[in-house]
Amino acid sequence: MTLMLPASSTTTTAVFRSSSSGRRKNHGAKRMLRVRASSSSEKETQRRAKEEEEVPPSVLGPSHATIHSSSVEKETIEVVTDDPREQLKRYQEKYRYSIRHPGAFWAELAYENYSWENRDEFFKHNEHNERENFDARKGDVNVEFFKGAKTNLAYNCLDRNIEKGLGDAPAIIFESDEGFEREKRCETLTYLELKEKSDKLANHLIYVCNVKPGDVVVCYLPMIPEVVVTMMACARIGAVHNVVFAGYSAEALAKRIIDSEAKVLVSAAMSYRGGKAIELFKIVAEAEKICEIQGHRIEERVCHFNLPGSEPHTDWPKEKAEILAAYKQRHGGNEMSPAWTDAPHGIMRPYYGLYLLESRKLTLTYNSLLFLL
Amino acid sequence: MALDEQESRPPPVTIWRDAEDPAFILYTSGSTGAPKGVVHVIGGYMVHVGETMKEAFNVKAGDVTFCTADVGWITGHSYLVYGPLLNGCTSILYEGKPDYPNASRLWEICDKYRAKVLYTAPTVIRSLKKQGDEWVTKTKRDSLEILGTVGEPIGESAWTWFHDVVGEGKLPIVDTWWQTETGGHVILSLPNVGEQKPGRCGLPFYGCIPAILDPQTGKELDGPNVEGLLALKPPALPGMFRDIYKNHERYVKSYFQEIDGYYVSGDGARRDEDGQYYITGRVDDVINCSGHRIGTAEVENALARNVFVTEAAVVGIPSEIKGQELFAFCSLREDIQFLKEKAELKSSKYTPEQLIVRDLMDTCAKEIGSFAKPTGGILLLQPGTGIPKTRSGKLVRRVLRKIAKGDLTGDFGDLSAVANPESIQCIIQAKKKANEAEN
Repeated sequence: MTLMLPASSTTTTAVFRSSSSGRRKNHGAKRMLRVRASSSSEKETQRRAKEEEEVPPSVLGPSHATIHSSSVEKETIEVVTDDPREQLKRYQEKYRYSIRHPGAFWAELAYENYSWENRDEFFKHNEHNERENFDARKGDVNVEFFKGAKTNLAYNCLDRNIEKGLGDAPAIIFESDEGFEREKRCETLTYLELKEKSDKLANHLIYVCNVKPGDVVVCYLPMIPEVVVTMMACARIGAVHNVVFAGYSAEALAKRIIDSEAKVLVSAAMSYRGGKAIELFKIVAEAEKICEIQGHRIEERVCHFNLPGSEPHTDWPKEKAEILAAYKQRHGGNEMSPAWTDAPHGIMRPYYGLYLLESRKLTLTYNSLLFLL
Repeated sequence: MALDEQESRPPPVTIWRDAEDPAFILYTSGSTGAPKGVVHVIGGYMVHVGETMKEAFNVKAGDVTFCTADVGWITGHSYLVYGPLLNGCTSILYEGKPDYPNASRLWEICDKYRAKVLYTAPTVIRSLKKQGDEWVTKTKRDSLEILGTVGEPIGESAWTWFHDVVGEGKLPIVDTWWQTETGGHVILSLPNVGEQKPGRCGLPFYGCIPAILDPQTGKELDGPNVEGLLALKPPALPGMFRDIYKNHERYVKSYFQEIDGYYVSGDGARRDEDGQYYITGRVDDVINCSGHRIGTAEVENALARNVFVTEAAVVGIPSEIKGQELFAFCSLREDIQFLKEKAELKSSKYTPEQLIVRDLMDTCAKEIGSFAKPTGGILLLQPGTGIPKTRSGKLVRRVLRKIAKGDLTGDFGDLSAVANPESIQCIIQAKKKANEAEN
């Protein structure tokens, strides 16, 4: 069996996208076409995907009678109707095809809409891109799709869109809680900015934290843009992220760190919700203590800084002495308790608008000290 | 310093990985034991999430989408981060609570950034509904084209309010059923496909075949108008989880061996005459509280670690806003008369019982998180009362659930499987006493 691929990629996307407004849908498809056509002139590229994008559809072999049975195709290109019954019929037709030929159905979408390193070799020749067994009596239970095809989630989320001309389009709009004496913070990250920030963090994970493809990185992060930055950084370098809901307690976090055997932890200083601030760093420190007691050590940590009223901020204390002085000043001349003064060796630096706490050799309370200023 | 080096380093080389290599782990609660690390892989997850995002919400590059789920749950992963980015959309990441500083916040955010899609949870809808229509109607919401819900079955009244008040009767409601394990949508009401009906979840997504199984026999029930366990049979969806981290045996056993040949979801469902599915809620010992999936075993273990308690049982009771709330039965270590003498339980303001209850609440918050507190109530049982169990040691939750809900008639049907039926009467007495004390 050769893989069934339609002749034109843009028609595929247009054909079966049900829409509340047919007119709009067609516009959408056309706009996408234009975007795609202009992509080759974009400077910001990584050569690999560019090559992929430029593969003309005709290379892919002849199109076959698949879901795009001729009647459907004619009907949907020109006449798009809002009639739910009509849409239902179209759904049913596509559904029937999808369950009869699941491998071809998904491969077609995978080929059309996503970037793969070995896109053509794989999807043109591979007959076994889907298999599963749900019955333990017949052998091991497993699910498998596109085994042997190489891809990258961050590339597909960021680079692919940037190449299409979406570099300056916003990827993430952050709306802050706006409570807790905090400056109102709305922040937009464009696709390019998100790529830039996540690349920097990815480098940090590779070169400082020594993260290898397949390693687990625990992310104990609240709803801040940095969580997306972190997920993209992990995806870029093939690391496996384990995001732990920031409402979990230290015990629950420790359990998840230990079970996933993670050696690297990415976290944030605070979490803000409903006008309240939760000191995540304290929970993290406690979780680390629990891990340690159970014989599991976190080796590297990265902390995203999001302190009250602090963004953007440029004059963070950088050295231990400065931290101690700042504390003294804030607390009416009182010295910091000795339990804390021994702790920190962390150095904070502005980092493309993010603040990272670099903490290679820190003891458990590094956070507490820095944040309790 | 190392960070300076990152500033000058070229961007990292993209590491191309096999489609079947793991992308992420996400922990979720099961009916027994420790939380499970659900493993998702790169290729299949990407295609599944990207395509369901496109179909369910009708998005194209440049559209603004607003998913209110926390990124720590699968909805956040799939439809706040990956789904929108894969489609070139703009995703709104809102840090705070839906009703802070007031109940207009979500709608104001939609207006401010011209969101086209709002994807939220029934528990959010119910709590905002309670605050009154004016919080909604004073906002424009004219950029919205699709309203989505996820997390638990949306009841008829919440659906109607969402549709009529928020969507002004004009917008399609896309209800979606899926799980941490499935990675992306499985059953959903695709916008404008077929007739809209309140409370109805919808039709299967492309490439998957749901099955309704008889809970007693495990046989598949064919045709319309059947109700039972909701399962999936091959072919698989590409976004399906591939494993439980480091525990393949548990993966096979807890999902595929309950009824051979099917992925058993743990939810119940009904299929109507149009082949559309209605989700009826969890059928196992997992509680859906405000959209958080909480394993009763996890909370029971936490409570049993408290110094005052030897044994605990947790059940779900219905709640207007949260969907379900936790209710706990806790056997005390010592007689309450003795406990009264303890220094830490002496207070002029509170009774020892109140102090113990508060301590138990704290235990849950500390061990799991504050969302796992038994806000439905905690019933303290004198030592020796026991908690009803079968001879094989399984808690008789059916009976406990009824008592928790306030059914104190003692008429609980066939109790022949219960090893210690006398405990039931004791618990009823304790509940009656607690009710009196409350009044």
